[in-house]
Amino acid sequence: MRDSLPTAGRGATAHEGAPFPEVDSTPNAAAVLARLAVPLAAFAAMASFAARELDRGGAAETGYLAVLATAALLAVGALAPAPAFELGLGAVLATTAVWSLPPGPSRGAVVVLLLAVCLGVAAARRLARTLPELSVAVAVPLALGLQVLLRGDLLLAPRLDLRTVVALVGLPVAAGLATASLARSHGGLALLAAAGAVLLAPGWNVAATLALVALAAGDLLSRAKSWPARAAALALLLAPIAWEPRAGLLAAAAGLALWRPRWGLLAAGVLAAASLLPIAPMAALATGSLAAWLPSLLLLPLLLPALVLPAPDRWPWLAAGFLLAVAARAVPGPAALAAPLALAALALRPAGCVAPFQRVWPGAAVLGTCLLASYPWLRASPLSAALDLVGPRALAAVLAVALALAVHGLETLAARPQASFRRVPSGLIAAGAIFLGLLLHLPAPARPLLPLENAVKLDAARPAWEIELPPQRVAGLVVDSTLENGAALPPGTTVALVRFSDRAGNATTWPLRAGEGTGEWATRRPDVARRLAAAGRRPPEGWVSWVAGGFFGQRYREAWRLAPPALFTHLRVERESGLPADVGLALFQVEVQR
Amino acid sequence: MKRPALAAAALFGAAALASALLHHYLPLPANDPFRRTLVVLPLLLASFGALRRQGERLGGRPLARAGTVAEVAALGLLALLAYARTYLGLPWSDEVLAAGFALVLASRLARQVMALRPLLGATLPDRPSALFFALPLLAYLAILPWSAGHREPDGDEPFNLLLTYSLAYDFDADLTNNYAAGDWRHFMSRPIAPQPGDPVGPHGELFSRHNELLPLALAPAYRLAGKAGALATMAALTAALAWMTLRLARHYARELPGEALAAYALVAFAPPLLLYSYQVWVEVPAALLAMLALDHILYLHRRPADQPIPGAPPKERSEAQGSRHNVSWGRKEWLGIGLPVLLLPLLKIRFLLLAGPLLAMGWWHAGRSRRPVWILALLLVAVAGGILLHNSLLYANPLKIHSWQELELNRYSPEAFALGGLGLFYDAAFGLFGCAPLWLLLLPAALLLLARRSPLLVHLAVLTIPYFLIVTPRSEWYGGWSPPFRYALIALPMLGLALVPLLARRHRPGARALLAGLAALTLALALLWIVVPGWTYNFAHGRTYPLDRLAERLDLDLARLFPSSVRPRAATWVWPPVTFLLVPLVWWIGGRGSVGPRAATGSAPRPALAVAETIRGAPPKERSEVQRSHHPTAAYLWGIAGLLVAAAILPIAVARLPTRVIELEDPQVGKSGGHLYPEPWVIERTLYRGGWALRVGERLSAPVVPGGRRVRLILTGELIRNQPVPFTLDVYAGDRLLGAWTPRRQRAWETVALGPVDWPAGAPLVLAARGPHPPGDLNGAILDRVDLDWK
Repeated sequence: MRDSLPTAGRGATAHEGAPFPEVDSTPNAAAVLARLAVPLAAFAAMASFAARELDRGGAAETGYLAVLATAALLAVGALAPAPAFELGLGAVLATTAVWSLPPGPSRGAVVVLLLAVCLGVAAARRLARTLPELSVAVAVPLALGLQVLLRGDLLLAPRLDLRTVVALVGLPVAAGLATASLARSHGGLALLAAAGAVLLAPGWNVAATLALVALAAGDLLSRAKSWPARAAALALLLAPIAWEPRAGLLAAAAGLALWRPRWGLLAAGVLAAASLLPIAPMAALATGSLAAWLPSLLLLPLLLPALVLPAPDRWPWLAAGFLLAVAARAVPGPAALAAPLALAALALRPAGCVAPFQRVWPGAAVLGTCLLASYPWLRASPLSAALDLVGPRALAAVLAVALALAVHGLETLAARPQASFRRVPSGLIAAGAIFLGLLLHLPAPARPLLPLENAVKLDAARPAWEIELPPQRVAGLVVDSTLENGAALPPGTTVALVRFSDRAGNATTWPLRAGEGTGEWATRRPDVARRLAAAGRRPPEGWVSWVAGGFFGQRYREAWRLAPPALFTHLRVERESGLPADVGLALFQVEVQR
Repeated sequence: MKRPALAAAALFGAAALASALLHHYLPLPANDPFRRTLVVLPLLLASFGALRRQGERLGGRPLARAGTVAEVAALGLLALLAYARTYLGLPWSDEVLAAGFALVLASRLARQVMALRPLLGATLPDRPSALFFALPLLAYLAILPWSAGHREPDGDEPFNLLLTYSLAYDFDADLTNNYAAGDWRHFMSRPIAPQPGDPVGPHGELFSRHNELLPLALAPAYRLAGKAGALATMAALTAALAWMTLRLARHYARELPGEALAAYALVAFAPPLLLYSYQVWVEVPAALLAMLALDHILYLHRRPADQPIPGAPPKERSEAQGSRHNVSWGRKEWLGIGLPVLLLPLLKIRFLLLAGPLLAMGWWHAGRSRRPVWILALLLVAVAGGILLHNSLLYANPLKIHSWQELELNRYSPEAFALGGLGLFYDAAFGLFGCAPLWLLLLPAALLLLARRSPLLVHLAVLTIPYFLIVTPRSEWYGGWSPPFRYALIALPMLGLALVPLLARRHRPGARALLAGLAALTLALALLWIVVPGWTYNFAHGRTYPLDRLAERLDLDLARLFPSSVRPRAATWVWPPVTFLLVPLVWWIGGRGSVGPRAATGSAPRPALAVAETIRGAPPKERSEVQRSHHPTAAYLWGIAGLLVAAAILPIAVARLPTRVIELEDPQVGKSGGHLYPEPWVIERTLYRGGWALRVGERLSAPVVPGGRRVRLILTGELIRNQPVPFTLDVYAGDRLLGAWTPRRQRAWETVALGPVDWPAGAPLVLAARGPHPPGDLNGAILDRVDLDWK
C-alpha cells in the first residue's frame, strides 16, 4: 500500500512531486473572508504600532503607510490566485518593514516597493491564468490597486468627501469595467490600452477614464445587436464631450474608430488638421508649437514600440491613434494622450514573437511610474521621470522601435525551415534593453559628505558649513536641501553659495536658488500651497518627501557638473547674508561625484 | 566532452569572466558592502543554473520559467539599486537591499527544493543526491559576502581563526608571535588579546583554550584563500550537516520523502543553522560527526544479517552472516562510527558526552557485540586520557579553564536545570523558538512521537541527555557570546527529523494556519538576522536587540511579555505550559481527517486515508466536498491574519498590563545620565545583577502602567560612595515626591520599600539622585530594579 506522498519519479506531474501538494480549489466564503482578514489584520498591526509610537512624526507616517498598505493589499487579495502567497507574504513583510525600519522616506520606499511587487506578482499570476479573457473580477481590482499606488497621496489624511471617493473608487471601477468590456473583443490588448491610459495622469483621472470608457463604448457599438444596448453605448461614447469638449472629442473619435474605423479615421484627421491649421479654433488652444509637443508624441513609440508592426487589419486604428495624438496638443492636461495611446495599443498584434516584447515595455513603465508617483518620491510627472531614467527620450524611442523591428526580423528568420533557432526570447531582449538603458544612464556612485539623516542647518547664527576634502578630482556636486520659512522668497533668489576651492586658491562657485535647486520644505502644507497658488507661483519639484503630520514635507536636489573635472580640496556652503533672519537652509546631503 | 558538459563549462567560463570583469571595473569602493556580492553574482547564477539543469537531468521537475524570469528581473533591479543607492540618498538602503537579495534567494531555494522532490522517489534513498548538499552550500556562499563583510568575527571565532592562521602559516599552535605581530589584522579590524584563562606555556608561550582540530580542518583553505576560504569551509561543513540530516531521515521515515525534504529544508535554510553557516563554531562539525556516527550505527541495525560486510575479515563476515543481531564491524563501520566518536572529544572536551552515548548506541545496535565496542571504548579512553594529560602538563588543569566541580550535578538547583533547559528553547534572545518560531512545531511533534513511542525520541534522549545535563545548569547555558541555540545545535538535525511524522498530518486547517503563521514570522526574523547579523549576538541581560528597538520607539516594556532564562520573569514560566497546550491544540483543529498520507509506522485513522484517496482520484463531486472542508488558501491566510492580529495586540497588551517590575537599565526607561552596570561584555554576566549607575544630579524616568490606585514600591540598589558626603535618591510619581532613600552601606545590595502610596494615572516613576558634589568622582548608586506591588 502506498502510504506516502504521491510518488514523483521521472515524468511526474508538477503536482505529484511537491513536498506540499495542495488542493487548489475555487474561492469559497472562508477564503474570501480570509483574503479580507489579512489586509485588515495588517492594518491593525500597523495602526496599533502607530498609536503607541513615541515619535509623533513617525506615528503619522506609520498611520499613512497602514492605510496605503491595506488598500493595496485588498487589491492584491482580490487578484491573487490560490494560495495567495503574495498576499500573505506582502502583508507580513510590509508590517515587518513598518515595525523595524525607522520612520522616513526609506521606510516609505520599501513599503511601496513591496506593495508594487505584490500587486505585480498577483496580477501577473492571475492574468497568466485568465488571458485572453479578462473578467470584471480581475480588471476592477487591478485598476483599484494601480489607483492606490499611483494616487496614494490622496490617502494621507483622506477626506471622506464625494470627490475623494470618486477618485479612489469610482474612477478605477469605471476604468476596470471598461477594460473588461474591451477585453471581450481585444483580449490582452485591452490591458495595454488601459496601461497606456493610466500612466499619463498618473492614475485614473476623469480624462483617462472617459477615454477608456469611450473606447469600450465604441467597441460595444460594434458588437451590440439590440437597440437599447446600442443607444446606451452611443450615450457613453458621447458622454466625454459633455464633460470636456476637447478631450471628449478625442475620446469620442477614438471610440468611433473602433466602431466605424473609416469614420473614426476621418474624424481623427479632421481633429488633427484643426489643431494644425492656424485658423482652426482648436489650434488657438494649442499649448505650444508642434516641436514642443514632440516629447509627448514620443510617448507613442516609447510605450508601444511595436506600433510599427500593427495587426494587418487594424492599421486604421493606428493611423487614427497617431492623428489623435497630434490633435491632443490642443487638449490641456497630462491625460490628453490617453485616448490616442489606448486606441493605438488596440492596433497591435495580439500574438506572435513581438507580443512578449511589447508586454514587457509598458509593464516596466507601469512599475517605474507606480514607484515614482507614490510616497516618498511623489513626482508630478512620474511617467516622464521614469522614462528619463533610461536616457534621452528621442534616442530611447528610436532604439525601442528598432528593437521591436529586430525582434520581428528574428521571428521571421526563426520561422524558416533551415533556421538554427526556433524561439526568440523577445521578453528577455526587452528586459535586457531596459536594464542596459538604466545602467548606462545611472550616475556613478558618489561620495556622501554628510551622515545620512543628520541634516546640517544653516541660519543667521551659523551661516556656513565647510569641509576639507582629500585631494580628488571632482566631476560634480549634488546638494539635497530645504528652506525653512522660505515660501515668501521670490523664485530665483540666491539662498546660498556653494564654493569649491583648491590650495592654490582656484575656486568654482555655484549659487543655490530658491524655487530651482531648493525650496520651502512645507510647500505642500495647505496654507502654504494656497499662498503660492495665490501668488501664481509653482513650487519646484521635490526630490524626496516625508510625512510631516497631515501633509508631505519635501526636500530638493540640485546637481552641478564640472566639465572637465577638477582637483579640489575644500568645499564651503554659505548662506546668503541678505536673507531674512528667520529663513534657514537645511543641508540633508552633499555628495561629490568623481 | 559531451554537449551538456561543454555548455556547463562555457557557462561557468562566461560567469567567471563576468565576475573578473566586475572585480576589476565595478566602480564601487573596496569596502562597499555589496561589492563582493555583486562580483560573485554571475558565478552564483551560473551555479544555481547548473544545479537546476542537473536536477532536471536526474528526474527533478523543471522550475517554472515565469518564476525564474521574475527572480532574474528582481536581481537586476536590486543590482541596479545597489549600484545607485548613494544617488537615491536614502538611509538604511544597505540593509533594505540586503533583505531584497535574501528574499530572492529564499524564493529560489523554496522553488528549487520543491523541484528536487522527485529525486527522493517514493522512499528515501540510502544516499540522497549530492544536489541536496550543493543547494545549501550555494545558499550559504550567497549570503557569506554580506554577512562576513557586515559583521566581524565575534565570540570564539577570532581565536579559532587566529589558531587557524598560526597552523596555516607557522605550523604550530603557539600564538605568542601571532598576538605580537597582530595577525588578527588578516581577518578583522578590532584587535584581540588572549582570552582570560587562556593557557600559558612554561616559557610564557600563549596558547588558545580552543582545540586545534577545527582550525586544523580550516587551515588548508585559509592558506589558499584567507578568511574567505575558512568561512567557505565552514559553509561546506554546514551544508554537509544539512545533507546528513536528509540521509539520516531514512532510518526514521523512509516512506515520507516529501516530509523529510521539508524537515531538511527547515534545518538547512532556517535559523539557527543558517546563522552558523558563515561563522566558525565547533558545534557544526560536532553535529556533523555525531550524525555521521549515528547514521552508521542505525545502519548496523538495519543491515541484513546475510549481507556481506565489505572489508571485513572472513571470520567476522561469517559471524555477521550467522547471527542476525550480532553485527561485526568492517572498515566502513570503523570509519563511520569509530573515527567520529574519537574525533568528537578532540573537537571540544565536552563532546566526550556525545561520544560516550554514541558508543553505547553502537554496542546496542550492533547486536551487543563486545569486541569492536571494547576496542573503541579503549581508544576513546586513551584519547580522553591523552587530552586530560596534555592539558594537565601544559595548562596545569586537565579541563583547561573548567573544573571538576562543574560536573557535580548535585551542586545545581532544579531551577538551574529548568532555566537552562527551557532557555535553550524559549529564551527570546538565545532560544530556538525565539530565533525561528517555526520550530514551535516541535511541541505537537514531541507529543506525536511520544504517542507512537518513536525510536527517534529514544535516540535523541540517549544521545543528548548526558550532554544537556552538564550544559543546561551552567550559568552560561546560553553559549556565552554566541548566536542562539549554540550548545544544543548538535541536536538540531534530530529535532528536524522529529517534525517529519507531524508534517505528514499537515492538512488540517489548524495545521495549515499554524504552518503559515509561524513560517511567515520565521521568514521575517530570518531576514532580520541575515540583514543585521550582529543582532544574533545578544547580551546576556534578558533582552534582545529587536525588542529593545521596539521598546525605544514605543516607550513600552515589550520584553516582559517574552520569556528569558537570563532574567527570569513570569513569561519565562508561562510560555512553556501555554505553548505546550496551545500549539498542539491549534495543530489538531479541524480534525475531520487528514488529506495527507499516514506516517510510515503510524496508524492514521481510516477516514484520513479515505480523504487522502479521495483527493488523489475521487469523482468530482466527492472531491469538491473535500475541498470545501479543507480550503488550503483560507487556512494559510487565517494563519497569517492570526500572526498579524497577535502583533497588533502586542503593544496594546503591554500598554494595558500593569507594571510590576521595572528593570532600570532597560531602554524604555529615560535617563538623563549614568551608565550601564556591569558592562555588557563582562564574562559570566548572568552572575551579576544588571543595573544602572546613577550619579548625583542624574535622574531616571520609567513609564508605569498602573495596576491599582495605590502601590508599594520596593527598590533594589547599592551605594557607590566616592566622596564622604551624603547621597540621597528621591522617588517621584511624576512630579510628586513620594519619598527619599539614603543608602548607608557601601557596595552592598539594599532593598527599600516605600508606601503604599497613591499613584496618579499616567505618571512615570522618577528616580533622582541628589547630594553634595565636591570635586572628583561623584557619589552614586547602582539601581537594579523596582518592584511594584499594586493594592
